[in-house]
Amino acid sequence: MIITTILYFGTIAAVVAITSIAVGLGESLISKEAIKCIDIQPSSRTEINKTMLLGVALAETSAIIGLVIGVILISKGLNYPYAGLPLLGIFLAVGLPGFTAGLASAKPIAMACQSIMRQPFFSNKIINIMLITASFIQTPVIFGFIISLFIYYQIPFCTNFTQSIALFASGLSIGIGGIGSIIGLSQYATEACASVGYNRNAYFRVITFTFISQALVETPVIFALIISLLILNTNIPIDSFATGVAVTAAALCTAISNISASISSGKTAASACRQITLKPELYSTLSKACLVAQGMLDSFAIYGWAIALFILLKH
Amino acid sequence: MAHFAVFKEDIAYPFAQFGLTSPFWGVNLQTITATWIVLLILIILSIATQLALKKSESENAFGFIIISFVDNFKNLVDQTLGLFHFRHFTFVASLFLFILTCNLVSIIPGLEEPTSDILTTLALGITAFVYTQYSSIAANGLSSYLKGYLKPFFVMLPLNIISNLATVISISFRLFGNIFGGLVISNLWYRAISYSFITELIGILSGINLTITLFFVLFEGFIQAFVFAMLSLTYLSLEVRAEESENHTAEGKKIS
Repeated sequence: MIITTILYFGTIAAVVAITSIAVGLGESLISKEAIKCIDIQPSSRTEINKTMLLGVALAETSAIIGLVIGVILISKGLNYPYAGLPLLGIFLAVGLPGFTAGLASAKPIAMACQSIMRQPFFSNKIINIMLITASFIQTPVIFGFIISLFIYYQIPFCTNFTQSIALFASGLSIGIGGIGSIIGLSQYATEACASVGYNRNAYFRVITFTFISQALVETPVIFALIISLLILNTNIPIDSFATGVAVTAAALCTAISNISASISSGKTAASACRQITLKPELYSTLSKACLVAQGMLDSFAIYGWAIALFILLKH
Repeated sequence: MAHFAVFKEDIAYPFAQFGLTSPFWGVNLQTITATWIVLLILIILSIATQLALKKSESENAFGFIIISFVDNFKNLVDQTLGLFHFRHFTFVASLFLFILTCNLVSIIPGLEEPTSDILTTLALGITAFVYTQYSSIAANGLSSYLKGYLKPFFVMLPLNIISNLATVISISFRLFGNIFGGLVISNLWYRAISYSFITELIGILSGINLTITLFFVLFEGFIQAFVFAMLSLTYLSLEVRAEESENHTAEGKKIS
């Protein structure tokens, strides 16, 4: 009971703290970059200010989600015997993606400020592309938020240790599985914001390419989300420790195989985007090559996911 | 909380009398119905195309759309394969059209995407795999096809076989995962707003319904169909191109 109480208050504090720290660091980076840009190009200060404010509001999403989770957890005290591990799961599902997204979404926004410094008359289009790419970065955090709400509403029905392990595994899957995608998406977004600043004629090609490649980078997160939902739905027999271990193994399998696949997928897309801005006339060749490469990279995430599905079907 | 399963709920087992009751032998009635509707749509489209192409080009927009689609797809196959084969073109184009229609059929109320059933996507993956192997044998001959498994050393034989079979899993699970994920998310949202009339009204007016449909059905369906077709075309080109590579490099040198 003491451990549960410690975990209850610890989760509330840790979720709010970890997301706030990351967002604070990220916002300091954005404002620093914006001030530097205004220093270099003072005539475009209104545009850069606008971009900075919009970007800060977007980057704050994860901190706000952390705050909402904290408020929800406080509003209803948890006096359930098996609430410890599910609370840890909530912390993983919101905290890890929130921390990564807070840090990672700063870089594209800072890059957008630099681009506007280079192309002050093209600021609306640059703000468009920044909003699209930066809001893609927040999707894993929102998925984690959805999963943590499900975990929270299932805690009262959790009557044995194995069920609490399953709830923890569900948070683990989406929590660790989201990190890689956030980093990959942030790398792509940085390159997209920078490249529009270099060559504004490539804007329409870059924005078409953004939708295709972002969807592919984000595929592993959707796999992790499916595994989390399936774990929440499995009927777990009472006091079968093996099932709990199997469920945790499935979650870890999906989550860890996601990380490298989505980071390298994002890197591939970023370099393709750079090449597209340098040579817009080669768009069809470059985008096709990038699509195939990203498909191949995603298959490693798919292997992990398939094994996780088979583990879940076995139990 | 909604119940989602990898294998669907109402399954008929046509082979049960032979003792085959694993879910892999089951037939989902909903999937079958949706697939038949997809086939019906495709047949109607092809008849309409034939009628439209008989008219003069200046007045019909539909014929223009079809012609430009075929033209673009022909260019795509041409660039990827290096040489244009009508057979390969028809195979890849029909795969793309079938999967695209399957993904978009959930716009019709009451229907689920056939591609959200794992058995459909596995069947599509196996079809692409068998076609690839068949064209590889047809292009290179049986002996050099079998020798390809021993490259670069004979020790690599099991690894080559596994990597060949893994393409089926990766290509079919990618399609299944994306469509199934969209289905799960839209089901969750539907459940969240279906408590009362007011929440449903909020869902319609705030535009979240529209956003979910646009992203997960139209956009994701199109992208995944395109990725499936492109990847099967790439696997095909890896197998078929091996023999023609010398020819092609000679041509490339001439051009450059």
